[in-house]
Amino acid sequence: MTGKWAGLSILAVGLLALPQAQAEQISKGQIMANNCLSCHGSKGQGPGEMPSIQDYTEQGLINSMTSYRDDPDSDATVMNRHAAAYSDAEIRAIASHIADLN
Amino acid sequence: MATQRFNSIRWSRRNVLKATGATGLAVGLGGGIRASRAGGATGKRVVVVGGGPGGATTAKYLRKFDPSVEVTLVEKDPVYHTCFGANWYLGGFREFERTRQGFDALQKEHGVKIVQDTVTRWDSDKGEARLAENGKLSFDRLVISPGIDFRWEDVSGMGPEDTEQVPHAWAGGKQYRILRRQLEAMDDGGTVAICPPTNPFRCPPGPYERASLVAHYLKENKPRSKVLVLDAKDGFSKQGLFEEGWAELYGDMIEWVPGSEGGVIHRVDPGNRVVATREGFEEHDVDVLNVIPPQRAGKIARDMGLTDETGWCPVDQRTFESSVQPGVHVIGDASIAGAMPKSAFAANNQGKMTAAAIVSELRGQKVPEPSLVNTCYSLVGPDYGISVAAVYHFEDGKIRGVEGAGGVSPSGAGDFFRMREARYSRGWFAGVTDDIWG
Repeated sequence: MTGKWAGLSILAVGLLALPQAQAEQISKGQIMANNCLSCHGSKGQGPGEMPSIQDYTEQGLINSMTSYRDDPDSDATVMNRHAAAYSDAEIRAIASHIADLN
Repeated sequence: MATQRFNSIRWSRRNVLKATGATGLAVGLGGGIRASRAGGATGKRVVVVGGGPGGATTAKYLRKFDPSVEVTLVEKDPVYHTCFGANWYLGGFREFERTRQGFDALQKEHGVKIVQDTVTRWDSDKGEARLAENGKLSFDRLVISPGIDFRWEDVSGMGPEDTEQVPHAWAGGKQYRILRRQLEAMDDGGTVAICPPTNPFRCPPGPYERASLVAHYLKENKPRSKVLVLDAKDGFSKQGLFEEGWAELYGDMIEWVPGSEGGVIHRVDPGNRVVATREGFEEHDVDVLNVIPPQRAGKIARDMGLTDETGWCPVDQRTFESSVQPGVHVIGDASIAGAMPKSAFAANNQGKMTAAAIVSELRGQKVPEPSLVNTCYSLVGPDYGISVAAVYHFEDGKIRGVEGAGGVSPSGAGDFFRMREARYSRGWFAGVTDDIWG
């Protein structure tokens, strides 16, 4: 077996080992993250005068959202009103998906 | 955290398989389990009716969630003109062309099949939709995003044939040009009357943004003129913020008459641009008349029996599947969507949720828990923006606002804050049009 084929086999076995129901299921995290794109653009690129969220690191997004939510002195206009809806776990789930956009 | 990270790694790995065309190989190696997992939605057909914010978003996100689903978008026009951003054109500081949206990216980048035609009827048991010109389309799921229709029977004295003289400008495109031309032709010292309808209607803050931006145009060009808002209601969206902005920017140029104080239209005389109120005892002889009629769900929804006694379409607010016809989803302005307003933003969000629900169900998977948002920006002036926001969840069978989140911009916030929100209003237009049609 060549290295290439061996690699693919391992990949395929890896997929089989994953719990089937979860593998492709659309998560609530994805749903919440997609909602960001209604303002920030379909790749989070921030078209026109909308700030980009594309180049944030995952931790940077978590920090920003948490600060919008918890810090009354943050410079938010509307993000404080959005961030107030989310738990720490939800903010992490959103950030994880946004950091994967490109 | 660990779980989330793990999720995204799996997600990426699947994308790699798809991108390299190795899915077939994996099926070969993995056998039936892999096949059933990937095969859940393969070749399933979804027909989406209406290329506005709701329909176009659904079509795009169905393909984003699962490129193996065949998606056909049926839209009667070659382009779509937005209502959002079109009041800016009435205000004289935005090109009309910016409201025009095409379907090229949906087709070329997302693989949505675009059919320019009209769906005349369907049979949801057979999974077949009839087109006016191009025969029929088969579907496993049907999504209807028909927008609104006007209750002309509730406007005494005028009908759709009078909208060249008395435009509603509540559907994108030509109607806005008519209203703009009338504003341009009006002499200084004239009166523009705007007549907002009863609830519920498309874009709750829209008539008041319009009053603001017409006042902006008049202040710059015809400063002795006046805007008269004859309202069917006693209150409106973001009222405190609008009134604060009106006083700051336009003095007493805008007069708002609530329904209980003579705002309710009794009769319209379109030829003379006269509108009678107070059961006909008061007449307003104006120079530009904009009557926004009361509304209900788009015609096809009504013709096909999707509406209830309110004129709107009841749906399962988790999946937007019609409560009347299984397999048919209704989204956007036409649907009854709990606490969500009838806005392009809401339709866009509902489109994504509906796409996720349909893909999940076609694959035999659990529908993800709904999470929805809305932000309605309005311009009171070109550099003066305000907003209302909400985050929604699904609880006890309905879409409800998350407590403690959302709300309107602060009052007395100062010029810099208003200017930033004006910039974000324009940014939102760019963002949402990209998310819908880009």
